[in-house]
Amino acid sequence: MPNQSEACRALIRAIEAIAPHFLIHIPDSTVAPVLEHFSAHPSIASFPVAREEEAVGVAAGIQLTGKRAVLLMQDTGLGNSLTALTTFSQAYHVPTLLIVVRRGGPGEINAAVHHLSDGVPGILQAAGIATFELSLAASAELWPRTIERAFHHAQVSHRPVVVLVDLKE
Amino acid sequence: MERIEALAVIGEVFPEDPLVLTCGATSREMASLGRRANHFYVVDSMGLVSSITLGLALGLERGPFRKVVGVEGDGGILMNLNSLATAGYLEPSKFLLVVLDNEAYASTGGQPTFTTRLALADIASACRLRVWRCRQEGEFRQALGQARDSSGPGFINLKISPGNRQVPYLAEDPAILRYLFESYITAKTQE
Repeated sequence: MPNQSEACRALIRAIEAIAPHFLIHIPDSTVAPVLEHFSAHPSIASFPVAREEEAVGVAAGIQLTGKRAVLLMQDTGLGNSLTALTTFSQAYHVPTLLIVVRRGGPGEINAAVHHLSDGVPGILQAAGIATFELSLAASAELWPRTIERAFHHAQVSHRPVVVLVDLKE
Repeated sequence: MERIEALAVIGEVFPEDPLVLTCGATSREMASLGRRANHFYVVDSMGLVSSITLGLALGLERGPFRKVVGVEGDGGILMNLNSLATAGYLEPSKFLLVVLDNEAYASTGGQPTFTTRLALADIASACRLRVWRCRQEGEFRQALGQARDSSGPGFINLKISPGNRQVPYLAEDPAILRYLFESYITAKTQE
């Protein structure tokens, strides 16, 4: 994957392949082209929520009606969603796909970000949440394939599943 | 009114529409009145009921139900005031949140909440929800009926007396609670 904009196009293809009824997001500059693409989509309703915990609750409610939702958020906000993910989505066996954009690591100039972002894979592991990872080192074909697999895994395992996506060049 | 009396009235007015019940005494007391397939017990995740209700309302926008009703406490909604803003922004036509407001964290020992000094209904109104403020059973029944029969997101604040009934705990695996409720929703939407 040569660059960030191609990764955004791969994310769009992946979400369209899953074809959820709803895309729920917390704003993020890195994937702004993705949010823009879905802002007026003919078959996928996209809307923001104010905070990550809400996103998990709203997505769970949607899932209980037989419809599908995909969440898009930053890893620095993932901490806000942990209680809902564990005590609701996991405990009630609600399939949920979270596409989580990595903020930390080399290339991030905001020093505060790293203090949560770097620990996110370990936090997810400790919470028992299945996690897939993608970066620009992965091919353009692998992105949609991995995200579709993660979505399928959430459905068949009846649990929340996270795909960590790193779009930094 | 006591909480359990208010819950009985909600159950009467909404015998078939989905009811999402907050954790602690609210879920336990409602269950003690008789299990119903349209009742969904959230046994933990304090503050999440309004968001789950919002998701259900979005998913059931064209479904057979008149309203999707979240039953929350004052302490619970104070943990997720964001959800009122999101509901006001998205305007799901079937969203109704009923807050049983005893001005206390009754399930954790009765510590006072902020509603001893401020009005949740004012916050909900500022979030563009249609608001009803109730203190007595008669006006509560009227508010529930009006909310049930009108379109658009609503918020009912009922002041109740503090205290909990001594009723059995809900000990089922939450996965079973979800399965039963989801099966009910699926069956009703396929009728």
